[in-house]
Amino acid sequence: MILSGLLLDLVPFAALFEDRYLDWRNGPMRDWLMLDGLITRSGHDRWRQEIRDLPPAQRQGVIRFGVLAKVRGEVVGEPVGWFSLLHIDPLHRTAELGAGIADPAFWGAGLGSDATLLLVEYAFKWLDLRRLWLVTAGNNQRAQRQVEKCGFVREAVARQGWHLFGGYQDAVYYGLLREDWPGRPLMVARLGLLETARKRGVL
Amino acid sequence: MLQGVLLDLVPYGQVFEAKSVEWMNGPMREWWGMDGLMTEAGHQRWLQRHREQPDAERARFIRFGLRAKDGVPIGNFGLMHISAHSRHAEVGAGIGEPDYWGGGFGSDAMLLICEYAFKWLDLHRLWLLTSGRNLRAQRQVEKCGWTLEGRRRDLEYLDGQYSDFVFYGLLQSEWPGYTVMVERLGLREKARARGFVED
Repeated sequence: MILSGLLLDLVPFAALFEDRYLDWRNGPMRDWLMLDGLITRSGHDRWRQEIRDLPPAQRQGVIRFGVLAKVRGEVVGEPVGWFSLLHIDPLHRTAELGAGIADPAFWGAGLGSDATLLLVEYAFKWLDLRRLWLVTAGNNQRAQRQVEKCGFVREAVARQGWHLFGGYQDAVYYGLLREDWPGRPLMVARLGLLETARKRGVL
Repeated sequence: MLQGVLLDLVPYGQVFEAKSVEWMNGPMREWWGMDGLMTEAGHQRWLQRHREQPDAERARFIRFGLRAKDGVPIGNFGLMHISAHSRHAEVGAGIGEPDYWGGGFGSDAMLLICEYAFKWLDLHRLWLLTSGRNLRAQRQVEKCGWTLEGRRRDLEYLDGQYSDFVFYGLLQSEWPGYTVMVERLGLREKARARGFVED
């Protein structure tokens, strides 16, 4: 399944992404992923194996996409991160959104918004979910601005929820209900993603 | 074993395992967010999965049984998702015997688990989620010193409709200690009224 956006495509999280995931997790994204220390090659390989060994019922709780950023003049985009639905709950019809654009060269360019809109549309229209939620660190203003732009509502602040960057940070919870979702075309227009894509020369 | 004034927190052994299915299908049921009833076979599978977990996973979960001072097993209380890095945990609980609701048992258990989490495990923060419809639980945790931190809309589908969940937190720095809280909530008087003799 490929979800085709304006600035990027969401494609299956295959070896192309798995191979880079170790560097990504140890790179500039590291602090936001709440990892204690660096990931080793063997730890990374264990993690890959564990995912493959999961019983199908548990694997259904996670849908992981790789992000291929469109590049001017190139047919195949650049792998720059991942976007996932986690804790997909078939009873409550909810899921968590987990994501990272790992390459700082691609930050602030609208990629996160484009991917969020694609994934939200997929979750509500294809998976028939009813609620999406996510959690981010209190000092990650960039992420908070971005998800608010995409329609997520700040619902709870877990005071001093995580130890990050050598100190405690709040954990900020966001939620988005399907009845509040105006649909992807409208959101694309509202965020001006067509203009962004034209400027990048990838339309 | 953690000794309170109305009850004790004891190891979660076979006495409590045997009661679990009955409790989960009883009056506590609607607070668990489960789809349908719990079967004995389903419960055994769950216990088996728990036993087969790697040690690192199991260490993130500490469960106690609640034994009232009259000797009756009445429910369970535990810490879940214990994070060694951020030093936080979720509190999960239930009293399966309605005869023991409203008598201060839940509060006594909550104070014991907070004391254990902050003073023994040296956790920095505890959190919990409860249904927005469960006003009894909200009153109880607020009495125990917890702070309402937010409302997560339509988080779970319970008894045929969506329900908000309220998010509570308690920091170690806000915890006055078990003895002070027992005094504040008047739990000793409640214990005496029930004829429980102090150890």
